[in-house]
Amino acid sequence: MRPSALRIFLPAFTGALFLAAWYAIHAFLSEDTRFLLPTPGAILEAFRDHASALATASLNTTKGALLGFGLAIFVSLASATVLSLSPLLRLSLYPYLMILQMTPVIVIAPILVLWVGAGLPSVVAITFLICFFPLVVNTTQGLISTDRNLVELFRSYRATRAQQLLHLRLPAALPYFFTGLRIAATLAPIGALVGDYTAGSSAGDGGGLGFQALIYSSRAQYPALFATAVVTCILGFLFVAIVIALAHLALHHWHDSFDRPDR
Amino acid sequence: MLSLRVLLLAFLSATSVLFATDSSAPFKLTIQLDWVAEPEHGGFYQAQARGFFAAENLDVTLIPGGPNALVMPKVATGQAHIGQADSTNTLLQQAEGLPVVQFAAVFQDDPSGLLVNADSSVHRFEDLAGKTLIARPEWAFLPYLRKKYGIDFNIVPQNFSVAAFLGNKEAIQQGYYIAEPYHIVKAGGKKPRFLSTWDAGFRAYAVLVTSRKFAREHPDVLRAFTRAYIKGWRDYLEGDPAPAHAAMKAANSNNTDEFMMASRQLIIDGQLVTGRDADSGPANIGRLDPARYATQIEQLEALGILKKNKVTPATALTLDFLPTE
Amino acid sequence: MPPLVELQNVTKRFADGPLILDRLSLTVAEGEFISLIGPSGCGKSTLLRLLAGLTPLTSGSLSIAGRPPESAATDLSFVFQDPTLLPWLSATHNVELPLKLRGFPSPTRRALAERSLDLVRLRDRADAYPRQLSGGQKMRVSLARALALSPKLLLLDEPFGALDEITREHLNEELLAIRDAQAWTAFFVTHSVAEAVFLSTRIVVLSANPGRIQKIITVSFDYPRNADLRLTRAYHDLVTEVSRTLRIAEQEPAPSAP
Repeated sequence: MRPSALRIFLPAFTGALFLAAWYAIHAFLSEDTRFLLPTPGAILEAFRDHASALATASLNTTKGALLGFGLAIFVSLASATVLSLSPLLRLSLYPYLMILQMTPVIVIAPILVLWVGAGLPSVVAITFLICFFPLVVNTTQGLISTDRNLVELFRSYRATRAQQLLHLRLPAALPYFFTGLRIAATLAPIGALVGDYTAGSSAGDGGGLGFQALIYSSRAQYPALFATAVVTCILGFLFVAIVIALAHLALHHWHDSFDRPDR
Repeated sequence: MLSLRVLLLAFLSATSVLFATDSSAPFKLTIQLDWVAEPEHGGFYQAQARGFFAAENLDVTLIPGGPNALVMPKVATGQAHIGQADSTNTLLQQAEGLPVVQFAAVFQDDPSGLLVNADSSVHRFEDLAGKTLIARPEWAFLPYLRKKYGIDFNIVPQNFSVAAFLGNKEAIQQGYYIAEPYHIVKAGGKKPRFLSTWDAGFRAYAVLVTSRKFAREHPDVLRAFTRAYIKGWRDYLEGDPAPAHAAMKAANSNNTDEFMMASRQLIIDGQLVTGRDADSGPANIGRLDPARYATQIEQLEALGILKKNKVTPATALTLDFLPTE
Repeated sequence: MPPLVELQNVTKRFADGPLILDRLSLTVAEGEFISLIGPSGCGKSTLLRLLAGLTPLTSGSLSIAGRPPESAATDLSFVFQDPTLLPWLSATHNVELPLKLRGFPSPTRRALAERSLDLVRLRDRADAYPRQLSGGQKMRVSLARALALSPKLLLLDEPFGALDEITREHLNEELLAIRDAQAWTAFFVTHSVAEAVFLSTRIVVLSANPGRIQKIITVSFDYPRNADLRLTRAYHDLVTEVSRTLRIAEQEPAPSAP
């Protein structure tokens, strides 16, 4: 079989085996324990039955994740720029940034609920916090790691500090920024889900996927819970995929990391 | 997702626990309470403190619950043998295929309802439209309210602390009228108003549930337990509750004598354990009425809250473990 | 004609460090091609940076077209050892960079950049990115960038040092061809005697620790020069003479200027 065909056939075959095993295990389970592992069929049925609830929840989680993510990008870019301009500020603030980064968001979540309110505000706040640190740390690193030769070049043109920032440091920091962005992209859906799970509400159009998971699990609607998990996976995957695509668009034509092996 | 992993692990450990029993030694029974130890659990604690369980050759462990009490998953997977729950919520879960069965009543009428601030604008159920309710998401009363009064409202999952309630005049929170109002007043708030589920035509029991597997395999244990439990309630309500209260205080340091006596009195005055219908009395303790279940199932199916034809009184509850008349 | 570049007793010392350059004096007329050659540590790169205004004098005076280096920025261009191209810009945009920083409008920038790339014969790679270019091509873009504003003074710091012999020779020839098309004065730092002889009007041999002028050798070959020059006897003799001076500079450095 040709390699390209193998690339499709092998995972498909494994997937089919996996599904068969799943049905087999389910059949093997006793009456008393069958509820622990819904069949793929039951999960599909749950998808149909709860389609609108899951769709609304996905939209809400995406909304929360995007808002928190976007806010984190904006604030981190501003913060990174400021931090890159002042070694004094960096020395003063970095230890606290590190401490805040270490603090598990789940612990801070209830406090955030008190401060900003349940529902979308907390979801955005938690997502923001979880995404902010990788972004600001990586981008700052990128801004201060500009190639010395290039900085000299700009000096030789008597470029102003603003020009240096805009035309040299920021573009040069783009790969670092995207590294941070990729990390933040994997975290944003998690942040939105955690925020939802601990602080979600059905206010407005309803909660997100975390809130749905809470409801389904409390009502013992396990096929729907599995369905929620599947949707969550897909959402997370899409989020990261889009960021990777963006990174590719921005960097592939010039960055070494995209060199093909034959070059 | 967390709870499902707990389920699988719990199931494995539970099966090994069951294999370890020996018929002559006291049977080790694990009971998962739905909340922290309070007078609503008077039957358990009095029976344990007065040795009624021991007399039936039962070694009972009472696990207090709390905001995250996973009663149903634990019982369904055998990690706990018996759990306390709301009968209607259980019906909904049984309709989803959860292999549990209801076998004895705790309260003939569940004292759940909505706590409303004395100064709040809400006076009737209809006034809840558009408001935010702090409640357990699985509470069957919520979709019932929506369907019955044609209103919609927001739900915020809650942890039953009174803090949010105290801070907000318009807060509406799920609670037990025999407990939360006392705590709110004690914490400095005005005595809240209470919208009772009964006033909306919703009648649930507070029940004890067990897994179908355990019911199949240990009917005698369940009978013995139920006998001791009923005796415990009777003794707690009619006799001296001091033994139970001492145990409850040990289990939960927030329990003051004043609170426990007040709560117990409310239970007595409300005839929650003995029943508020015509057949009220000590003989009614722990009894479940299939007719009431039939009515409620019909009611919920008609409102589209309960999946049709998934549960019947015959499958949802059993009277096999109650003492025969 | 007044000299373009005048150095008088130029001295450079870094902070509390050793003396790098010791009272250098030199006068350079317009159109000259001056090579700076010397052993490591003779301060030839530092001299270039002084001329570019990238580092200040410790003492002495240095003027370019009658002005100190700090204000002569618009008259000169620096070609670094490393091509120092911005990787995220195409060749054209790289060449346009100094123009952009100086506020030239887009059409003007484009026209000047294209003309510059023509000069280095790299017009067909105008849209290529640095990572798609060879070492020699990148250097040509760097040159094009330096020439875009038609500077009076071109400062080159071992620009071809990282390239192979053949590419280097070709670039030398191209550099001279460009010099015919544009009239600039050059200061060229190199380690290669052959290169210095091929390109220059005068070769300044420096001695090290501290940097002093050992000897200034005039190269009297006519322009335009081409590859055939390298095959002549006169060329080889001059290379030998410069090499010898270089050896002496290493072993018996010249005493301080009076």
